[in-house]
Amino acid sequence: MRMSDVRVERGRTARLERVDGELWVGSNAKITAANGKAVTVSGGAHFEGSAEIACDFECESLKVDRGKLEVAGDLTVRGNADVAHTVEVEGEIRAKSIDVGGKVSSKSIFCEGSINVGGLMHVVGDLEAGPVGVGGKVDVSGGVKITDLDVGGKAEVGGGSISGRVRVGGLFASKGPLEFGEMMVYGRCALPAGCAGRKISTFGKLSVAGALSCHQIDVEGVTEVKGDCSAANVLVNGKLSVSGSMSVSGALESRGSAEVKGEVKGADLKVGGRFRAERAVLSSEADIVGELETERGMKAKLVTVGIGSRCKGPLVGERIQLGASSMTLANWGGTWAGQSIAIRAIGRMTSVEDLYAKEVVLGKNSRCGRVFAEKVEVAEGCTVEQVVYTTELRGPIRRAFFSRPPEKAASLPSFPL
Amino acid sequence: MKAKPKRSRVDLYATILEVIRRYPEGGRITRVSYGVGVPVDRLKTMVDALSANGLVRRMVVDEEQGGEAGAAYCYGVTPRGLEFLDTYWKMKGFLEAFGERS
Repeated sequence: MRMSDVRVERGRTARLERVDGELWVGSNAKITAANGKAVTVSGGAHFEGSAEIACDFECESLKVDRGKLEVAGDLTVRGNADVAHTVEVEGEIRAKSIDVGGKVSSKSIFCEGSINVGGLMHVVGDLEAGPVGVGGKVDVSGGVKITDLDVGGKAEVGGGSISGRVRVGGLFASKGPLEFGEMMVYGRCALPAGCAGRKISTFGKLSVAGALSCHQIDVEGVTEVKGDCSAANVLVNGKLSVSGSMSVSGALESRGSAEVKGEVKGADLKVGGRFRAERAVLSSEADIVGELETERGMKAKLVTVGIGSRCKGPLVGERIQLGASSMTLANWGGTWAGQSIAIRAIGRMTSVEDLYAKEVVLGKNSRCGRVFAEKVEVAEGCTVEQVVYTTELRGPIRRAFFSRPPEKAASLPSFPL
Repeated sequence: MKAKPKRSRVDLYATILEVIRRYPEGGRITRVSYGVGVPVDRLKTMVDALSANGLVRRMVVDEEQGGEAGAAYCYGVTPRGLEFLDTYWKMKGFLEAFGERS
């Protein structure tokens, strides 16, 4: 200990104002401010055990070996704060980096670097920091502005932005709109309306109370969006339900079950499981192996329906092909949900409703409603309600079944969608 | 007030690993116990079990500091431990999806 250093003995109360050197504090000591406002330590502050500071406190570095440190005012650490067990601050905490073994609670926290907490973190106001890692639970009532969030158990925030990665093992909830980079939630995740991010992956259950905008959405568990959903790419292996409309600039792949109450707009659609929407308008291709249900129909440039698949609602396209081998369409390396539906489809008849296209190819044993196309190709065992074509009808017509004789027309009726 | 459900042994193992993974250079048992909320003596047996199964690695910090009890150790999570955590949370997610209490 240097001459300028100050030591507060165990169980004593010390009135301090400025310490030019280090401050050493024994267990169960109390520090009060001589000026009634704050204590400033030019060096580090070392607490051997539980202690109480009844004012604002500022130091170069903070080390608490054991017990609980209670601060009645603000705590400012110009360097690093290292607390073995617990720190409770009624005011705000400012530090370069924070490392707490047990629990930290404060009105608000502003930290230039990382925050690492073994157990719990409770913040009444705002949290601004670099990467935040908490082993147990995080509860921030105000907004957050952090780079990464890694929580073992539960995390509840008031909204804000997490620019990097969010990884939450158990439960994640945001009360206000949240901007995030990459979010990975294993358990339950509840977000309000107006959240936006780069990527979201859920293994448990994600519920969004309004619109969601995210570049990539991967659903392994259950995802519920109570509003519109927009994304570049969506992959559903579990269950997705959207109560509004859905806009996907890239591919929408549903190997599990996807239900959209409104319209789906996108480039590509791949169904390996079950897909339901009011209508789907796609600028490129649709591969269906499984079940597709649309109230007002589906439109794509190329529509391919695998053997044993079922489509409810009219299909519109430039080329529609029925009864393609499911082997080539289904993603057999995919997950159980898609596979099980694809396997169930084998051996069943391909069944669709009305078709509107330039060219329609009906595979073996396909069953469809009315067909309106320039060119129609039928295969053995097809069952068709009606065929209206303008250019060509080819294939083993006698070995196909038509409810009404095929009809060549000068023009086709206008297509829906 | 509704009583907090008791953590199962597997939940405790996961919590221990979540706390230890915050210390890339190794966490001391006392510090880990503050994070997990379990006394050191109980925690030590659980950490030993995790270590025996290759989920946690034990590193000697100081040969002398441990006193009569032996050397002082710190603990870090192994890749297998991270794999356990990943599987644990995924399984918990599945159970949530099926509406099971997990």
